[in-house]
Amino acid sequence: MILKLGPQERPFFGLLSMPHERPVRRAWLLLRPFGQEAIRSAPLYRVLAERLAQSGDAALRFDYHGCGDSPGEFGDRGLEHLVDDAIEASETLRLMVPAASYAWFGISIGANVAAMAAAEAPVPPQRLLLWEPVLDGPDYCERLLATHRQEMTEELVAEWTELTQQRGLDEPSSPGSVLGVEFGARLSSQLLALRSLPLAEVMKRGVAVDVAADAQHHGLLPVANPRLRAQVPGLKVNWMTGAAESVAVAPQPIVRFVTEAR
Amino acid sequence: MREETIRFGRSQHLVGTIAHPADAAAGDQARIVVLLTNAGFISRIGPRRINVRIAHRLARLGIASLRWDLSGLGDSSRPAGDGAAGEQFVRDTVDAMEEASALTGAGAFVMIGFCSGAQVAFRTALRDDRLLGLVLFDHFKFPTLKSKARWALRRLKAAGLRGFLPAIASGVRRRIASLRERLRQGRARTMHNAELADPTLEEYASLVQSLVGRGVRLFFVYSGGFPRVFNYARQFDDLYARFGIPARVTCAFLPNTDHLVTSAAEQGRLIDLIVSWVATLAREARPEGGTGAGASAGGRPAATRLEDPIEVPATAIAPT
Repeated sequence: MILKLGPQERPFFGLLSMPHERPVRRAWLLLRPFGQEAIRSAPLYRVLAERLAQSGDAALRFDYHGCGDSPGEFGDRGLEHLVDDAIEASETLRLMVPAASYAWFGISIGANVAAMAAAEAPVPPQRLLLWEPVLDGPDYCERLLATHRQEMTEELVAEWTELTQQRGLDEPSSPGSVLGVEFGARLSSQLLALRSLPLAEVMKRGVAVDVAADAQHHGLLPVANPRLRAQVPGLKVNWMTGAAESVAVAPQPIVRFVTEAR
Repeated sequence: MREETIRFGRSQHLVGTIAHPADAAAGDQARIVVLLTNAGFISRIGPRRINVRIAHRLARLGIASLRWDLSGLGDSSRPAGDGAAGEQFVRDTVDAMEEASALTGAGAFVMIGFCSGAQVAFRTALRDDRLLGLVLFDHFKFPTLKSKARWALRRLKAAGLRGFLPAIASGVRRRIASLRERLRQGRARTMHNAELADPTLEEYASLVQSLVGRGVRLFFVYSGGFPRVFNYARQFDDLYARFGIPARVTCAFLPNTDHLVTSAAEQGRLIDLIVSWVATLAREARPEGGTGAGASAGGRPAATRLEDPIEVPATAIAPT
């Protein structure tokens, strides 16, 4: 079911996958990452929505305003606008799909947005599943820039210095443009500052959290809290790069992370 | 501009977004709808969201567009049955034209295809004369002696003789394997096979000629993403002059644009080129009474306009 979400001044598009069975056991909100990572991970989100619907759950996936197929340009918006869209989508899901429970899932920046939204939403989900949230903003931003340079040098089969100094190509920059996506000043500074998730607040609201993150980042998580289950991701995918094409459209460790959540 | 995401197709299996111009009257005058679809596995938004940006620019010029996901890609599902993907994609494109006609009243279309989307556009145009024009980004690329020499020289400069010799050996091995495959196919090779995936230069030129002969306007755009094969501005002329094609189509070579259009500046330049070309075609496709000269009563550009050059920014064309 195609949904037009959000207020008139900030519309965005969503797709709701419904199971044949009623009542719906669990309703999922699937939160995409940002920019090129959202483009490359789109098939995963579709597969997840279909698998969940087949197993009796509903799933809503959507593009933030100014991203993907939704209207507008992202421009000077920031993470808080992604959070607003997520909360808006969650409220619509609750209205449209009465379910026994609600769960949210996100990868990369989508996981950060999910955690931030779960701390703020009028009604949080019962379950939050986060796959490789960004816990080191400077490293994330540097990887964006490095991936841009790598993509260009591999695609044009030339050294980066040749491309910039002899052929006049621009250095990627944030704020500015990286991997064909505009990063405004607000979003750039917010990404650089990412070093934690508001999980303590989220769990205080009764939300059970599953996080798949590098072991080196587990120290940044409130691992002593019994509501938190932290694990190391069974697969590393760089969704920033075109090389994501060479991994399975929907990597099984990520699909299982969601479909086996109970 | 108004955008609406819709479900359509003979099995209601396709998902697409139609962008209507804000000025409906201008949209009506254009009488064409632009079609945009997937590039490989990338959804209807296109590489780096370029389809969305093109759609928005076109809408501001009064031209409607439909960007949609082919069967099994993006948000579209596969219809019942077990047809070959290539044929299904052509049927999907026909469905997209019919849906766009129903929504806008337009009876003529221009399709912009990136990567595999170019092949879908090309194949559909061979079968359906409602497609007035095609933008083909990185469609089939053939080397010339000059492009091979330029690539060899570049490799030699970069790697020196010691690094260059293994590359030569590898190239010879690839060439032998390719010749063996062609010999193996022998007489079983048909034009249909050639059109599907792996045409020779002559076969491809013949198909292009058939489109041009029907009055279909073609804009070939080549990125710098295949420098081993396609690497200089006049390469298209060198390849197709003997078939009489270059004077009847438009071609641009963008050596600093990669296949995924990663650089924002290059993306902007590419969008300018495409939108300018489509806008020219749309003006010519206006019915009599519109401002476009040379339009026929059916909204199809008169054949006499075919050889008119399309103005493109000089910076977009690489030096020879």
